[in-house]
Amino acid sequence: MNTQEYLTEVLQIQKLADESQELKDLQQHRADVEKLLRREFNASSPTIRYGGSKAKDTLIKESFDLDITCYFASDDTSAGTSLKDIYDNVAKALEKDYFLERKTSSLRLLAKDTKLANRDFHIDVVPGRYVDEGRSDCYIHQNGNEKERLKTNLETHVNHVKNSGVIDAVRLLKLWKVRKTIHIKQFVWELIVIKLLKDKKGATLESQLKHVWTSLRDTKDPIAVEDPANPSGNDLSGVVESAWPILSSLASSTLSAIESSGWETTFGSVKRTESIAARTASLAQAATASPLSTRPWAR
Amino acid sequence: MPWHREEPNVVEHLRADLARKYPDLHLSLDGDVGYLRGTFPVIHDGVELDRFTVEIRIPEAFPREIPIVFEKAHRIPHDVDWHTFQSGNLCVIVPEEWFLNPHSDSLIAYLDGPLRNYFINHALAEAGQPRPMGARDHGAPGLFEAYGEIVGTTNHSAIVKYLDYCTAKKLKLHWKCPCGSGRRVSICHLGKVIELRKRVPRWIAEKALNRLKQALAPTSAPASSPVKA
Repeated sequence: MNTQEYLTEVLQIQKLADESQELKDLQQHRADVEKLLRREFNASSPTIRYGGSKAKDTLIKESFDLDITCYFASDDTSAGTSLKDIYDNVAKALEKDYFLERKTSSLRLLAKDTKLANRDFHIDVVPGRYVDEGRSDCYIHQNGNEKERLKTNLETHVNHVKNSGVIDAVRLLKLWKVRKTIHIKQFVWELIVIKLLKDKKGATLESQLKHVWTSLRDTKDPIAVEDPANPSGNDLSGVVESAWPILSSLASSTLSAIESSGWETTFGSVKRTESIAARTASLAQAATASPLSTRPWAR
Repeated sequence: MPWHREEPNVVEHLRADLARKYPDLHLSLDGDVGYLRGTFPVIHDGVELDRFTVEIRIPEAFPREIPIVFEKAHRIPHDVDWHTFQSGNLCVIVPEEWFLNPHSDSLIAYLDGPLRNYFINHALAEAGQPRPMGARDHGAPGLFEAYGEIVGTTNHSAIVKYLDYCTAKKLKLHWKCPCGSGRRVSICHLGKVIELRKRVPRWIAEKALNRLKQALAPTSAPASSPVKA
């Protein structure tokens, strides 16, 4: 298997197939959330859509967060007068069925049953209000930020990534970011990758990835990226600056690891178990084969 | 002395080992505390079976204290029945069991052993399967179990006595053996007692002793001096 085939296989493994249980569960949760929001904001009829990686085709199995936008009409005040009111009222509605983690602009849904494994539904609800009747640009509330509101445009974001011509590299580099748990907003990371690859659209995946890592390693000052939906009003420089040292350091170690030990050090083996039963059997075998038997405890 | 200053190049060696075995865990230092952040794969026969997002704190006193592991993706419920505390740190193992392992000074051995086992157990439990390696009971019963296996008895009084000897400032050879044989410790289980005293940090043994004494006599105050035979 050559590098291109290997990377294609990694992408294939990370694909969340339409018939997969994970995707079905997500879609069911989305339907539940939509039903709840429509019931609670019956008078407003908000526009509820997929955002994030689902809309951009950058979903990967290892990090399949789902963004659901819940935008109200520009002249609608039944969900709240200010953006903060809308954010709080959507939160209040969701709290009937979920625990929430309040993020900067979104609300993360967690199961109310704290004993439930996988209690994080991987769903963020983003409340907002359209700027005008065109229902394109939208304002969203920002918790804890100097600017309390941010203008954004879902369509523009989605198109920027979808039409970038480097979507496979974006997905692989998302996987890299997730595995290394690098704390940078995924959208900003996509902007960096797309900018670095703007002249490399026709290159192989191997060459694209190495180009991004080499640029991160060798570029001392963080590069400037701009939000295509709000170039002058959404300053991303702070986000890029704070993540740059770790991006640079991990890009450097990734390149060294690939150089010395090959691509599997970065994206792992592409061998996978074929079914849930096979995985369970393999886990049991792994336990038996462990040279040291240890048991968890709780003080 | 903090773990990362005990030997020259210890951080570089650890980074090299991590790059080889756990390339998705990266090490950083915040003062004398180390942090491993990233994802932990469970691999068997070259096949990746699972992966967990973690933050592992390496305490200043490592290896005299065990690493503290947090699962960072909200996957493992913060509940003792899932062997996790409310604060999110995992109850990977009874610390003393790890201290008695000959490789307990190696962080990689901790990742390869107890932590990997924890995740294998969890992945199976999550799939509705029994934990193949079992689980310790919560609280004092689990401690009794663990110490009982270490010292080779299920007799709770004997276990407490072993711990008494472990925490005593000086061990007197004429004391009666904690095993309950009635013989002097010097001609009975001296080796076991010495090993315990050597490997289990005294403060941990004292903490365990107090808990176990409380468990045996819940209404009495924790004892402060060793029980002499």
